[in-house]
Amino acid sequence: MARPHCIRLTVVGWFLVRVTPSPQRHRIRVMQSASRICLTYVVLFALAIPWYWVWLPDAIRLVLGMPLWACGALGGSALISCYTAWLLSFPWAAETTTENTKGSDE
Amino acid sequence: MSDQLIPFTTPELIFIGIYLASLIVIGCFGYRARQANTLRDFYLAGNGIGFVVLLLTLYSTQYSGNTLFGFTGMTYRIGYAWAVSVHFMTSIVVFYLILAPKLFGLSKAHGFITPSDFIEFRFRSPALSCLVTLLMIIAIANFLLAQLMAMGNALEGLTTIDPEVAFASGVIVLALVIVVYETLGGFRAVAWTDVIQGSVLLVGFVILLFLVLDEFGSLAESTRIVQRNHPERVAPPDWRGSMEWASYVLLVGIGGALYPQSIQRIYAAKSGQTLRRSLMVMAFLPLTTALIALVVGIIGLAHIPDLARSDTLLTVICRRVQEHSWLGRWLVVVLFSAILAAIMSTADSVLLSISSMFTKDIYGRYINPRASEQQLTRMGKVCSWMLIAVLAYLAIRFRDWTLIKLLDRKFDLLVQLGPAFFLGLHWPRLRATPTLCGILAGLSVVLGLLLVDSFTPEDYSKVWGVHPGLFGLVLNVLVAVGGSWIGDQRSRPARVEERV
Repeated sequence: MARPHCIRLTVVGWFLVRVTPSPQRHRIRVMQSASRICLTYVVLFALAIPWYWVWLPDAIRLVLGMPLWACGALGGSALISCYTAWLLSFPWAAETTTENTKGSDE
Repeated sequence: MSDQLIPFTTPELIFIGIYLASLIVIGCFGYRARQANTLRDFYLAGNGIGFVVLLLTLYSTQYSGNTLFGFTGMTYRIGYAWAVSVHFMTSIVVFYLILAPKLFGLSKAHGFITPSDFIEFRFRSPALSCLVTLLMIIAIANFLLAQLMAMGNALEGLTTIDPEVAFASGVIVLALVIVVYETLGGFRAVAWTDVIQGSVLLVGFVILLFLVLDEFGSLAESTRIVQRNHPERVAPPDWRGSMEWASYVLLVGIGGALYPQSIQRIYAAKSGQTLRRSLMVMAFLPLTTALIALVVGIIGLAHIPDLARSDTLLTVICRRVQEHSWLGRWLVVVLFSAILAAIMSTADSVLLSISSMFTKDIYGRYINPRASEQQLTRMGKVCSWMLIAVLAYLAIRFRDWTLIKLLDRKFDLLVQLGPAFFLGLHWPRLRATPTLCGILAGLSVVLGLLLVDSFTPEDYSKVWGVHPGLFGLVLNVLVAVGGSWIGDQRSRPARVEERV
């Protein structure tokens, strides 16, 4: 039942993006990507914080010299680092603006 | 078991002396490299700094003496639960993602020097700017005092002279070294010395890991011993512990990103690309630095049980290594240099940041608005000397001051500035008066909880595992956002969107 609802929302979202004027469309896209990034971080931190390990078996079995739950938490932290580094690999809007300003100054 | 190092011999002390002298020489180079006698040149190195310098100055400023002594000691006390330190150090870089892209562009376009320059530009409210400046100065001045005390403690056990004299000498000599190279070269000298200090710190952490593994054996063996003797320190955290993890991630992430010295490093980046690359590397450094401190703490807990003061774990380990061989002694000398580097690099950045905020945001704005750039720069140098003199006196006079513990809540205070910076950058409708009221409301919650904690036998330093600063922040955001929204509905003001 959830699937058609999802498709409908996606279609409405696509339609909204198509029909809105350009600056607003840009803002919607920025907000969409910002909320996607926030959601990813929430999920990653929820995985990295070991709240659920008390219910899992083998939580204190040693892996790489430390308990499994600590390994999992540190793995989650490594994932957060990788995702952050990936996001930082894209140029910022301010960079192009600064470069343009520099160019005009020169 | 002694928690004091074996006193250094003359050649070892000469090595430390040469290291300290090299910092002053770098200060001289910074003085020669100055391009103009302006505030921007003195506090932000003029046109900015490149990738390597920016990365190492961010690194050495972020990781203080607390990382070496405090993190190992905390792991000793609570075990694997302190793996949260890796998370919260990573979360600082995550919060930079919200702050840095826009703030960097604005700082380049409008020539910001201090964090309050952004607040003044965004809100046009002298009261709010003044409050932000004062709050930042209060939060980090205590941090500087703690670093000065750490300097005294670090030197105390190294000589055979009277401990009190050694403590005072340590504070005075190291504070003098810092203030001399900072007066000579300003931010340029601080950043360049941070390159040496950051490198020494990185090398020191690697040496520490090898020393500990060589001396005590593998991590797996240590974990098994801890599991046998203290099973609760290997178990995963319960719901309260998990709340504490989440609280640390938010509190240190937001507060650490709002350190004024870190914000000034965003301003000082040569280009956006330089800043992005530095932050990319910074995202992985907790996995080396904080993780090594965790491993050392666990190994120490297994092999050196029953320490009276857990924060002396590192010193005890160093003493064991010193006793074994000539090589061990020299490795401890290098490690000790790394400890000094960690403390001094944080102290110099904090000192420069306070000096810039006092000079530009208080003296230049309210006391002598007609002062020229040269006068302000001179005032900044005088301010650094006066501040370091007062704090060095306090560090020596109150070396066992327990109030320090009460005052050491800098993150609880700094997070209250979160709405002004994070929302101020991204939400054009945020208004000055509700933001000001929000900060005051947040502060009253924090101070109220801390007062209750200090005057009652119950522990209110964290409620349900959550730091007081976050309770304050929730109220702060509600007041700031609610007030701005109501104000917006009433008057529909001209938007400040274009400005941001």
